[in-house]
Amino acid sequence: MSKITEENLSNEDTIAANKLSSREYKYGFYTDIETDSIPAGLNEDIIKMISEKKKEPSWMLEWRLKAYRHWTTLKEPKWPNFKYGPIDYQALSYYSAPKNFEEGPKSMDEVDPELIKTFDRLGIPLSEQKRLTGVAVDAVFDSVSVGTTHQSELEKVGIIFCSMTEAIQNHPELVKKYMGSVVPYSDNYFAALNSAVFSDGSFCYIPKGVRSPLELSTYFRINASGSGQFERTLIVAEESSFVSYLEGCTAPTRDENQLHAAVVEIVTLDNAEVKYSTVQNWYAGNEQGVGGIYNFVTKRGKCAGKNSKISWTQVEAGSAITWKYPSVILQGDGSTGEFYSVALTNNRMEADTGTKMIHIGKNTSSTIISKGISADESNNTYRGLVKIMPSAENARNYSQCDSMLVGNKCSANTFPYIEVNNSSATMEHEASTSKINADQMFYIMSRGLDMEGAISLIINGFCKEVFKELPMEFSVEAVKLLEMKLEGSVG
Amino acid sequence: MIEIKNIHAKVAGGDTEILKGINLTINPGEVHAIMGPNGSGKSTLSKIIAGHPEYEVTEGEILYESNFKKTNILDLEPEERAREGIFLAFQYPVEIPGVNTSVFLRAAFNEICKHQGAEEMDTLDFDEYIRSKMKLLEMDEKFITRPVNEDFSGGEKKRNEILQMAVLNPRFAVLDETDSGLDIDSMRIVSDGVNKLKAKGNAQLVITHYQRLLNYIVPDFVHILIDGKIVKSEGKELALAVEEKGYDWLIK
Amino acid sequence: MITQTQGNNEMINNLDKAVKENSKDAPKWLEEYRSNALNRFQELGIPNVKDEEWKYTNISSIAKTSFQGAQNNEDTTLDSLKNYINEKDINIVFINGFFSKKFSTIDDSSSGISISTLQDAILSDEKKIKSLLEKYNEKETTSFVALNKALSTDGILISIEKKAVMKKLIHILHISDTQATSFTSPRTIITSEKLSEATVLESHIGLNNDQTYLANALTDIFLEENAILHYCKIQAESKKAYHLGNTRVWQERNSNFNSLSVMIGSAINRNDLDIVLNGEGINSTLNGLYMPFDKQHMDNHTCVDHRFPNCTSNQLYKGILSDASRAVFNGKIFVKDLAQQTNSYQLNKNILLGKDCRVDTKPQLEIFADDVKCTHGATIGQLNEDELFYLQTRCIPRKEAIRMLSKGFINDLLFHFEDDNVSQKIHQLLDPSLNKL
Repeated sequence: MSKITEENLSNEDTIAANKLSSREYKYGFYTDIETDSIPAGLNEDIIKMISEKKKEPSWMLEWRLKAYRHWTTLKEPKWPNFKYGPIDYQALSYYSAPKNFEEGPKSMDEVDPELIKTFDRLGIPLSEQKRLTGVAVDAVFDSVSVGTTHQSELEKVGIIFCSMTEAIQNHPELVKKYMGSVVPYSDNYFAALNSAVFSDGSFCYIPKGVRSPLELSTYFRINASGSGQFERTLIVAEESSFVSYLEGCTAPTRDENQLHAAVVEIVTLDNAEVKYSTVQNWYAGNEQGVGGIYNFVTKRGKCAGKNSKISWTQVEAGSAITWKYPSVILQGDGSTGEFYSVALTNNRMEADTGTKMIHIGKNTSSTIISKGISADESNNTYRGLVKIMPSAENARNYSQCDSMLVGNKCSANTFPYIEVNNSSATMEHEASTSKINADQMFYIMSRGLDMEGAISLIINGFCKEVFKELPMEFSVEAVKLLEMKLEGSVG
Repeated sequence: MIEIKNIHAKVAGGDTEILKGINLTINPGEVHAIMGPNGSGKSTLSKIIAGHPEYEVTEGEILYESNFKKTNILDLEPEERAREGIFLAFQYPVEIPGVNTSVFLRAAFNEICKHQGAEEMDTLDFDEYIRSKMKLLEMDEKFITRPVNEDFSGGEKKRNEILQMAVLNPRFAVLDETDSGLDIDSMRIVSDGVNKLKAKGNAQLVITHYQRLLNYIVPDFVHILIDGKIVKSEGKELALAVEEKGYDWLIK
Repeated sequence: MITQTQGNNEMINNLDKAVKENSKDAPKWLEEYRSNALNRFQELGIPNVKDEEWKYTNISSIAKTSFQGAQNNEDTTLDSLKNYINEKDINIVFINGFFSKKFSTIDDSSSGISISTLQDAILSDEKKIKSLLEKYNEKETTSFVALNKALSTDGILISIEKKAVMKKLIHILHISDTQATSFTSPRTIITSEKLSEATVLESHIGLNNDQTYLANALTDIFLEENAILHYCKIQAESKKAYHLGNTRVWQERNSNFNSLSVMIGSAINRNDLDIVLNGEGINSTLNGLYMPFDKQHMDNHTCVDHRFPNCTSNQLYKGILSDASRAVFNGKIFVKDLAQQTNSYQLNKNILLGKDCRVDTKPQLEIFADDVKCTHGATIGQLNEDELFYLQTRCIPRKEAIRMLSKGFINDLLFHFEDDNVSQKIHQLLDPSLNKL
């Protein structure tokens, strides 16, 4: 693991890095930077230490401690369709930040150039000159947010987009009101853990009637070893507002398994809409299944207001284990929930993912489109719940869960739970399996396409309903990512 | 146009020789037919011409002439052969779920355009182009919006093969048992399509089990393939003789 | 993990003693077989809603009821059975779990088939019975299968002999005619030998609609190579009864199992249908039809285990729910890594007519082979308003229109069997329910 030495990352390098010739994980580098970590272990003193480092008000600390005390009463859940090695929660360090970060960066100019370089290399330029147009980025490095771009532009329209730490200090009333309102600390084992130790994350507030002029985005980077990442994202969309939110994640190549236990909460009020897109490419371990991130995340949105809408789109291509169910509570009458997912597993990866659509309000509707691709010796499970509560008159759901198997050492499972408690409900569920095999490849290639083109054609065909939901640039990246991952498995 | 010279082949990694020295020369403008009993190696030959990785050529070469230059196509990848104008209509067309037929065809067509240095066609122009070809084959317009071969009937799959042939406009086409499983009407339509695609500079190799097809696609030469070897080559009347007498009389 | 439910010891009166008494004169192996089953049942306990397999079916009311062993009823009249028995058929009749010679019409001269009670079969062909009873691994049995094995004292063994093509319908009737809160443990074994073909109808009928009782049935079906069996199960127990049914089917190469389950009776009904496709080229059809009213609860679990290549399974379960009834469908399809070229289809469709009815459906696919075609689907909805309206504009009253469309919805299943005799019986039993819609 060496320090980044390339002085100037030219465009050619980036293009070269993007070349699909290798299945190697191109984000597997490590940034050698001086860090400020707290000792390993988990107890009330550690939590106090984290809270102190973040200069939090006392109510925040109390909430953390309540969550911690609750967590100690919980048992780790054992029901998913995979096994994972025991996690020693006392051996983890719950805070790791680049040195001298306590004050937080005043502006992008003050951010350590090494960090800027790291994000450059990840394709997320932060500096004023190079930053992406049209997308505001909050860059999270291990436990802290290292900077947020385009803030002033957003402020003009009243949008608050900042790190969670800043939000707690500067907008306590909003954080107090909404944090834990969708995912309470008592929700589940990993949500309780997160609530106790979360170190940073993004906060986003869209005021009434505002359509965000930019895409907002958080980029998560795990760098330090022996630590986990426990960030918390909160998005509040006031009446008739709209925002499209993007999330990306990577981590260095390492032999150890690292835990990423995040919480994302979304609240939409009357007529508001939030579109949340993820391209998850955490390090997935090597071909033998050594190393990789445990991605145990609780993501949930609440359509609190009438006719509001929450849409999750995810492309899950990394992590040793992906275990998450981005869900929507459809409370407001006429609200809409959507879940579009592509989950790809290869080598020895495991994914147990899907969604929950809880219909409470009248005339609520939900759509679930899930595409699972399993290759090599991996296991890919869709698990989902559609629950129509007795109050949900005229609820509608459409679900489609398709699996694709590449090779015969992998498996694909579909476990949809459909619970209808109101007789005016209409729901339709379809699932199918298909394959990508040598015959298909030959057939397409005999019409003049090369291997890359053939895979791309099949993957695009299989996932088109999901890809069309992604913002353009994400969609292109997602296709490339899947192609690269599958190249060695097909043919 | 194509010279098949002493081709010996087996299943990759296997021991049994399937083709035991095939020699066949096909000139531009000609239609050849290969007939033979089950397991004689007909389909193997077609797959070898297209470059199926399942088979291994142990001896011989296939020379293909284009632009006054002869190339041994055995050195080429399947897609390179396709771009050179070699087309195989599959006996069992493969289903590609989720991939829209017109998207697939346009991708293939543009690969060939690229290869020939021609400009690629945009969606609208291509749409028009493909519709003209579909008319030729009396195909329903809905056809191209469906995923490639998925839930197609046997007849539709075969028509789709000929549609692809019409769109890609190959110089040398191999039709592998295109008639099997077709009712008489579909066979007429498919054969008409094939005949309309015949041109001075093109050649076709028709592999079939039944003489019936050769009433519609009239060959210049008929070859009988038995046990991996061509045992007899004559004009179209040979097909009738086989239809009448079977293959036994050809085995000495 | 199944946890013990309160009342476990009470559900069957003097359970240990009953099992012991059953085996008074039985051979040693049978005594062991029953006591092993009893141990298994006691180890598993009565499942509750915390158990994933019983998530949507709460049977605490069954667990809390105390059932005693059913008594034979000599007073049952032929008249009360005339709707169910047809002279043309081979009828095998059990009253409260006791074989009734009086009502059964087993034609001894029928060639190609042998029928005997399990008690007789143990005397005449002990070895065969033993191997059939011990076919399944005890470790894999569920609570109620184990309970049936421990408690059943008789049953029927039907062997359709090699190459026999049975034209006559074989009808097994399990009649409950009781005034007591009793339990029965119906036990059926069917073996279809190589190249045979037959149609079997197994019906569970309650004569006294106000009586609570428990029928815990177990049917094992073995299909040898190339055998064909059409099998229909009709559950028309009393409205207050509990019916727990387990049907296990073992199929060998190229065999064809074609089944339909029809459910109209009982307060709580749970049906488990497990199919093992243990060879190539097997066809299996599992269809079902349920029409619960009032607070009836009907739960269907199917499990299809594809172990070898080139097999096909088809499942179509349809339900029409009225009033405050509940239905559960849980279909599992396993495709093991060897089972390439598997075609497996599963569809569960529900029409909700009642205001307070509820459906939980959970189709599951677990696939370990890549070259397979599997689909599953579930729909829950109402009758099409446009269609209802159309019929109404043609002078048909709404009530009748609902009936017509409902009938249309299940029509394909009503005529699932080529044997008119079976279709007729299904109609006969379903018509009162259909007319109630």
